[in-house]
Amino acid sequence: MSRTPARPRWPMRRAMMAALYAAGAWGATPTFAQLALKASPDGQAWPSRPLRMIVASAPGGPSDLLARLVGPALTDASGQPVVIDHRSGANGMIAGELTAKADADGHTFLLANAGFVINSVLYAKVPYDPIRDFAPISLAISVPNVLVVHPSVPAKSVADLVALARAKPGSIAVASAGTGSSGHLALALFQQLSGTEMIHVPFKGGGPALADVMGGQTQAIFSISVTSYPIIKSGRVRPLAVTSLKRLSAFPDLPAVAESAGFKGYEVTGWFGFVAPAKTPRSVVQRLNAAVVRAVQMPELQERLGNQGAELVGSTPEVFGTYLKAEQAKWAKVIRQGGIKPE
Amino acid sequence: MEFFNDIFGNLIMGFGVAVSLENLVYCFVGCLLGTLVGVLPGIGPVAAIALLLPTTFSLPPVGAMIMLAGIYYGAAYGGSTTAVLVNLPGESSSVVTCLDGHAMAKNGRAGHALAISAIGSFFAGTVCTLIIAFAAPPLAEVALKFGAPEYFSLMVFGLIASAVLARGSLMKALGMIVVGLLFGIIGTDVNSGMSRFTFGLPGLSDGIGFVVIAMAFFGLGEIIKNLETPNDERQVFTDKVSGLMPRWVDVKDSAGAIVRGTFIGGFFGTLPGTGPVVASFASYAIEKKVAKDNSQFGKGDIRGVAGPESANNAAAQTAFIPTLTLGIPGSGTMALMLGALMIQGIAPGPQVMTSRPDLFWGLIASMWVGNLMLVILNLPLIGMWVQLLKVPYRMLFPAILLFMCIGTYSLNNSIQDPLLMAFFGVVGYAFMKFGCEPAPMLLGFILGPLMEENLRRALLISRGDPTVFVTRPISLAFLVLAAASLLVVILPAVRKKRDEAFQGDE
Repeated sequence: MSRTPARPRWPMRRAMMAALYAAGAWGATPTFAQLALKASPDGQAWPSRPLRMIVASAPGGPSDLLARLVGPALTDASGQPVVIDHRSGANGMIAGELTAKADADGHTFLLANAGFVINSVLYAKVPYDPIRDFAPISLAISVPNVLVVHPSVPAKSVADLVALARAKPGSIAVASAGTGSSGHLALALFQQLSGTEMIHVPFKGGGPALADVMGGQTQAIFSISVTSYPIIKSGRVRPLAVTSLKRLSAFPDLPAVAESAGFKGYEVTGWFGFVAPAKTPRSVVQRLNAAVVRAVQMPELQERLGNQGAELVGSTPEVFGTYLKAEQAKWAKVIRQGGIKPE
Repeated sequence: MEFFNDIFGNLIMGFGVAVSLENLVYCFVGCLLGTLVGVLPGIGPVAAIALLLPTTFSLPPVGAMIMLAGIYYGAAYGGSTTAVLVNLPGESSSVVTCLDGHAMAKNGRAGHALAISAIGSFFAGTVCTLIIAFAAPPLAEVALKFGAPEYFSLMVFGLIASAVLARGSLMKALGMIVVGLLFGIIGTDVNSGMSRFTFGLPGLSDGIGFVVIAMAFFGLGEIIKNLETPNDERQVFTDKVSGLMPRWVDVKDSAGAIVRGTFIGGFFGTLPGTGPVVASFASYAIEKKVAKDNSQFGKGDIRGVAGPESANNAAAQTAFIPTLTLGIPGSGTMALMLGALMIQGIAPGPQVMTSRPDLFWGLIASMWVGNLMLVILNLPLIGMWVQLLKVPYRMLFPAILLFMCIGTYSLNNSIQDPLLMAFFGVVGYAFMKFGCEPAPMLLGFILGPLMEENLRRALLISRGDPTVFVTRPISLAFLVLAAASLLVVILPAVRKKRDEAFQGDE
């Protein structure tokens, strides 16, 4: 009962979804060219059945959008329909465990997010190891946060906010999408680097947290760029800085937090990337990587995510592997220093 | 005056978009698909939209949104259908519909319950379409005024008012609310990130799903109870089904309930997260209080269906207000709608109203068209649904069980949820044997965690100062209302009257 079956099953809903996808806009019929491509260099038949993309979050939101845009690209590349399998829950740990234990034949892979690595240092019991149990495919997009404040807060810059927090410790309540979310860690690192003390107010999800700041109930939030973009444009909250190392093309006038004194090297970005079970054949990982990279370069993705503040990356498996290790080390330190382990 | 002219101009433009043949077809297909999927127990609007979302990808943005809105209303309406027919609430907001709706079905009046639900929903939909057109931005501002203290006080009021839901003993009802609160705290605590009562099971870390609990206590409990009686004596539904079409007398009886339900629902719907559930419970509580003769509530009073059904449809409609004007989704369903907008290449948010007026006003107009279509679609379907009740129970109940398992499985694609449902079905049956009602338990289950979350958040922000609850006017107002409801329940004189009214059947 505690463990989700490791072997993929095809119950009614999955079958219905597969049928819907096949009937919908996504061309699921392989062309001759695609059929010719099917045999991989090492002679294994891949893919021999529909691909299963496990998504570590509920439908709706940027990861869903990414999954639905990358899905067709993978279908084009492989000639097999891609079934998107949402397994939200336990901060993505259910999806992680499921993928780690799936057959490593390249038919099952995970659309992971920043929590995939953060969980491994935040929680005592994590049913997978993000480095050892997985073969990285590609870091698809990186989604920085934007530090925004309610217009009634007198701070116009990061330096102002630090000064305000120093003058009255504990007077600024900062909302977040939840304990261990990228916004929470952005706040933790911000406090550690500036030596300030603010109140962390976790919510269930980024939407209600941002609404709380819009209503002026809490004063600030590190909110993911894609979600906050239209709210910032409407002038309901005042952006102070972005949490990426460099400025974002979507907010050219907005400085990076790292530009402020004392925040050198400050970088906290959420991300979405693809990983497969550890023993997935190298050649299949390469082909999945090529498909993801091509999908990331599609103009639709730039238009729907890039223009709202996401960075389209599409890295190699090696670069993504190094990134995952670096993230794990970084957050282990921040979480230890901030004393934010829940268990 | 110019303001009104603008809005009428916009509405006319919106109708121009919505009633194009193409969009009417999308709207119809959406309502039909939504109803068919929503009728499956356990598959509510969220699951229905997630399931059918890909079918809208190839449509133009306006058509896609109109179809999704149709699916949303259709699924919500389909959920009420199962609540009436087989005592299975498809989603949290149709729990209340089970109370009197299913009782009516047992009295052979399923057709009337479904008809009044369709009529009430249509009225609520019409009024709320106008509310959205005229007052969406100011209502969104009111919703933003709700911080943690206001939510907490609102929940306190809701819980106290829910004592009214009790059909039997008041003590048992209060006990069941506490049981619900306890079930509700299972999972990860939002404020500290700690796991509570999860027994190391990752599947429990997000708590037990509402649908699992609701289907276990209502659906499974009902099935076990029915099977308890020997085959030849069992008479689940009466053979005489009196009339399928709505009767004028029903409409007249329910008119007040429908109007009150509409406004209650319209208000609560704008509050993210809690809207439709609180709205339907509040509507039921109020109907029971204002009725001159409330002895039939819980035994099939049509007002107990008309009010909550109008309220939950109104709330389903005004839930679009924060989504459309602020870009903040109030529920999982609304998050999906926003996701659909993004897939269509439209950045959701406050600017949609000005940058894509055809989409914004077309969607609003199609809300009304969708509601109209649901009535036209569903009044003839009532006859078919009622026929379902004539299926012999030995064939009906395995089918219901099967669909319940599919529904719970589809929540997280995990076998754990059907297993949990089976476990709680036994628990629910035991409670039923002791004469403990499931409805107060479910309200505690829904409101308890929200209450705790907001209490602790309010105190976190105020740095431990409890006066925030009485110094903020909206919060104070809810606390005063809560105190007034409490007085009504505990004052001896009133209590005696209450016992007469509520224990008449014991």
